[in-house]
Amino acid sequence: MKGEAGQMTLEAILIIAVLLGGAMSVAKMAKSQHWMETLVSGPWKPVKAMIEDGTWNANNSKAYNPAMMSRHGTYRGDEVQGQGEAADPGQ
Amino acid sequence: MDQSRSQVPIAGTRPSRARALAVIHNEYGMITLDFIFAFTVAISVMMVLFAVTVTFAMVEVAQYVTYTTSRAYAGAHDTPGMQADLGNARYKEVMALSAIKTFLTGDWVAVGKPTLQDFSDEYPETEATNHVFVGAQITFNAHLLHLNVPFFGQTATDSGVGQATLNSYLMREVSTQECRENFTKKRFENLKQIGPYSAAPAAEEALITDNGC
Repeated sequence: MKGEAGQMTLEAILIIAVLLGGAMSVAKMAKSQHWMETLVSGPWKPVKAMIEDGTWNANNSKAYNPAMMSRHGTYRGDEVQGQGEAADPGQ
Repeated sequence: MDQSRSQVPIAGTRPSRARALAVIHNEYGMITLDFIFAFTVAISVMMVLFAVTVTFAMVEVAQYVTYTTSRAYAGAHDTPGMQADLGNARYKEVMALSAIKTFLTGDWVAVGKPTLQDFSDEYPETEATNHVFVGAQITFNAHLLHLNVPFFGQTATDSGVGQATLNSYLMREVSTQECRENFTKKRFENLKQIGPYSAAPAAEEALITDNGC
């Protein structure tokens, strides 16, 4: 009873068992909830829209293809950043 | 592992008990176990991120292949078929380069043959004069994204993941054949409708282009 040799090993076995159990639970959850699929397959639709038509809008990407006439140019300038900070036209 | 330290008998114990205690007393390798587990998880995540980044890089390369194919297709030639031949020849030339061939024709990423035509029907452009979707399309398929990661499962179950159609629309110059048939010949026919075009008999009239096509 006085010997303390191996106490750490026994505790480590217990810790390993708990951690392994936790890890197995996380792995099971990851598979059932498709974590990896969410990470890779989820963003693929907007990425595909960007690859094909240069837009993140995955629902109707072809309407935003740069070759569309509506995308050839724009007469709109940049939005004014803050109404109170607009430059004085008299300056 | 240091074998000599793991087999050191403990003083005052019997040899068999000493061996058992020596095994229990041995704490070497615990960090190795932790490392193996952590390494497996870390390498799995790194593998997924590597697959995604490589896919993006290969998309850029494949987009260049599509662009250069479309550019070759756009040049003028005798007939539209010969213009398409130029585009296909450029595609084969680029795909034969060792760097591109290695990455785009392997197991990780595969690109298809180019399709060279007018793709206006695929786009919601209503005005016919706005139909500028003439060029090249090439299918792209990143098999690399379909991984089975240890502990975490599959990255993709839908076969559509990793697939895209690359496109490059640079239009196409009018071919000599189209210029003769659709412009010069019709213009000549219309001129003849106005009245006598020449003193020569009509049977001897011939269409001669002045190098405009």
